[in-house]
Amino acid sequence: MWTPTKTKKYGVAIYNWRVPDCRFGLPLEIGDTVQILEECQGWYRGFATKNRAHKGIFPQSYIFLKQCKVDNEGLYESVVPVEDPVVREVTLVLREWGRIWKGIFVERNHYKFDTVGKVMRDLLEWRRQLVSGTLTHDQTRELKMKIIQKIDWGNR
Amino acid sequence: MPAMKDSYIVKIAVEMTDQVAQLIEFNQKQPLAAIIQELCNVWNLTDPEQYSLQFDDCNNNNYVTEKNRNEIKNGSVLRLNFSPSKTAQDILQKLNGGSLEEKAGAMAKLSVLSADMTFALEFINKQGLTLIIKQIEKGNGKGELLAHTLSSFVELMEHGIVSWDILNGEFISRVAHLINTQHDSQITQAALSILENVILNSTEGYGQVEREIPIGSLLVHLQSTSVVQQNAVALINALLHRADLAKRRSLAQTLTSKQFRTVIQNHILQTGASSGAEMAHQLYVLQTLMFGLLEQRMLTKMDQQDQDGHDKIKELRRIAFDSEGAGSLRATQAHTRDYKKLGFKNDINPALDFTETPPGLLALDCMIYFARNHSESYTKLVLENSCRADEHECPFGRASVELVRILCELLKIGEAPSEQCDTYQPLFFTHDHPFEECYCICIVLLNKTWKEMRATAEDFGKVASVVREQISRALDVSPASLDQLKTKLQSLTYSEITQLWQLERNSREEWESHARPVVELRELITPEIMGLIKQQRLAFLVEGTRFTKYSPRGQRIKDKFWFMRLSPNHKVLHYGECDEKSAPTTEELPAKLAVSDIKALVVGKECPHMRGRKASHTQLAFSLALEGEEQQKSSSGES
Repeated sequence: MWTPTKTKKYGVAIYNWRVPDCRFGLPLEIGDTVQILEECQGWYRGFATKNRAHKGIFPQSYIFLKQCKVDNEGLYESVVPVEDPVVREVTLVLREWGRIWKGIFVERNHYKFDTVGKVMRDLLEWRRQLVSGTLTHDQTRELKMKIIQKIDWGNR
Repeated sequence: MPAMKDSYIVKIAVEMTDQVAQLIEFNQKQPLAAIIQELCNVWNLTDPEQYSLQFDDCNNNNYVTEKNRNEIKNGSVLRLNFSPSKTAQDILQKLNGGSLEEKAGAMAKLSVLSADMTFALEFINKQGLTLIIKQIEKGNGKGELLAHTLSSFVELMEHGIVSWDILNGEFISRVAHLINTQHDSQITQAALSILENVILNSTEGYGQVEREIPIGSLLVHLQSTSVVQQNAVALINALLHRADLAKRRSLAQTLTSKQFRTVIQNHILQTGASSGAEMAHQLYVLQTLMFGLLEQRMLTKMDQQDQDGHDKIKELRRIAFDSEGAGSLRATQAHTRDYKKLGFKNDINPALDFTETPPGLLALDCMIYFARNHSESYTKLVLENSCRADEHECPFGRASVELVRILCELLKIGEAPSEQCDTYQPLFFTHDHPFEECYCICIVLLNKTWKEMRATAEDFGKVASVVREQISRALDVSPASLDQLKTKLQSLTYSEITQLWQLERNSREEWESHARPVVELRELITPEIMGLIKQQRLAFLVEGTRFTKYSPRGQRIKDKFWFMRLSPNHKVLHYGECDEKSAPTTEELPAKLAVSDIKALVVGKECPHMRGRKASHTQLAFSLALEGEEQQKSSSGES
């Protein structure tokens, strides 16, 4: 029996899930975020946030569940992960910049390519520090300021 | 022939004193008695039932029995000897009626043979053990004979065939007397071992041993040879183990006294005697038992009626804030303020801070110890934090409770000693209040780390985890003294710890990057990236490049350039002369070269026009080899 999930709504794939011959399977790459709709005996049914239209099933053990907030529960619910806003922002910024960065590479703007690359690596490292949770409040605050300034710089 | 048939036949040699050794095929399916019969026939021995086979040295000269015979492997060398039963009989005969010399010889033999289970069983069945016990009780015999008697006894008992309860008081007194007087180390060692076993294994024996062995008399044995030292510590451990709490405390007091500590320091820890696994284990057990004494306080919550506890809390306040000694008339409100300054969570009633177990009252004990014995550092620490007004103060009370909890956890306070473990901390044998001293060092460290982290009250947990890491890393190197611990902790600053964490994280990520899903992901992304690179390179070619012209002899021609670019459809290379600044369009470049005509691209030294030139010149050179003709387009670019 498939039952709609109440709290298990959002997760990250921790392994590649390749579907050889499964019509209803949802192929996943490590790191893909998924939104979960239903569960049944070790399986989830849902979709990857990168392609919301394609729904399918995948094993529960491949998913690391994350805390999230559900709005508008039911058919048209929207799921927002509960994360530090700065961490989330960095994630989104990195995704977006990654695309732009590739463009810069093809354009052969060496200076821009190098600088953006460096800033992205910095952001990645700082995000990692934030997530690891070993920093004190003061340090966290400082780091967040630093990150926000960098993002501002990059958006210009 | 098939191996199946031969698998139960092993080829071995059998030796016997004064006989020529036999090489035989030992059939594992044939009864031992039959094999022995055959052997005896060859050597012309009568009464084969009086003989047994024995393993060689690598198997401790044990007798071969139906149970252990499958340990015989191809190439084993066995010995034919008198059977355990016959040997036991012979030994008993000599012990009962032989000359003094014969007795000594028999006893020496017995002490060796007793380690063998088969023999021990025979000997005990023939009332041999009773005889030995009688011998020891009577107290006659000394020197080597006594040593062998005692060690035979230890070995025979080791098999667990006979209960330790059979020993009477006289026996125990006799052995205790051996310990309390000066003897050969072999005797002492066996006597110590016997009493250790009596304490641990007999129901009645402990009381008597405890009465007859004053702990101080073991002091001399702690300075003896390493086996005696080991057995002495084991006996102390056994005594501590069986003692009730009050008795254990008084024992511990003696053990932590300067006299004992110096002996352990000088004769065990510093001589390397402690490096052996057995000694290390005994020291570990001793340490664990001593730490165990703290357990009660650790698990006791502070009772609201606990006058002693309240007095201690008051004293903490007094030492910190009433340096003039005339503050007894202060109002309760002021007290509350003071308790807040002391960093208690419950500043109205600090007793509530000690209701969590662990660490319970042990935390309060440590704090008062710090305040009383290191009052200068204590006052400094408290005042320093109570004067800050910027949320960065380190709460002494709360921090102490947490720190003591961490220490209890790291030092495994209250856990029963484990059989296998042999890690002890030598520094805890260096002081009569080692735990409290350790706390004093660590609370100062915690305050230092707090400052280094610029922590606020919200960061309490994080500071605690860093401090925990600092202490556990410092203890990992087993500092020999409190000072060494202090030095080690000094060097493990907060930044050092974060660096170590960073390193560990890096190596973990390095390792994870080789994990299968990540590798697969990389393979998946690679084509896209390769595509991007190709796109970028092609764009570069389409944009074109200006080259300097060279004469056929490799001389640079001044102010002459040529230009080459790829057509936008990537099919044709256009090239022609140009000037220093311009970038001609494809239409302006007269010569053409179809990409499909290019056979190969060679670079650097491989280029025909670069042959025999210095390496520095050839770096950027390249040639295009064309299909079907020898002609080559060459250039050495300089950009």
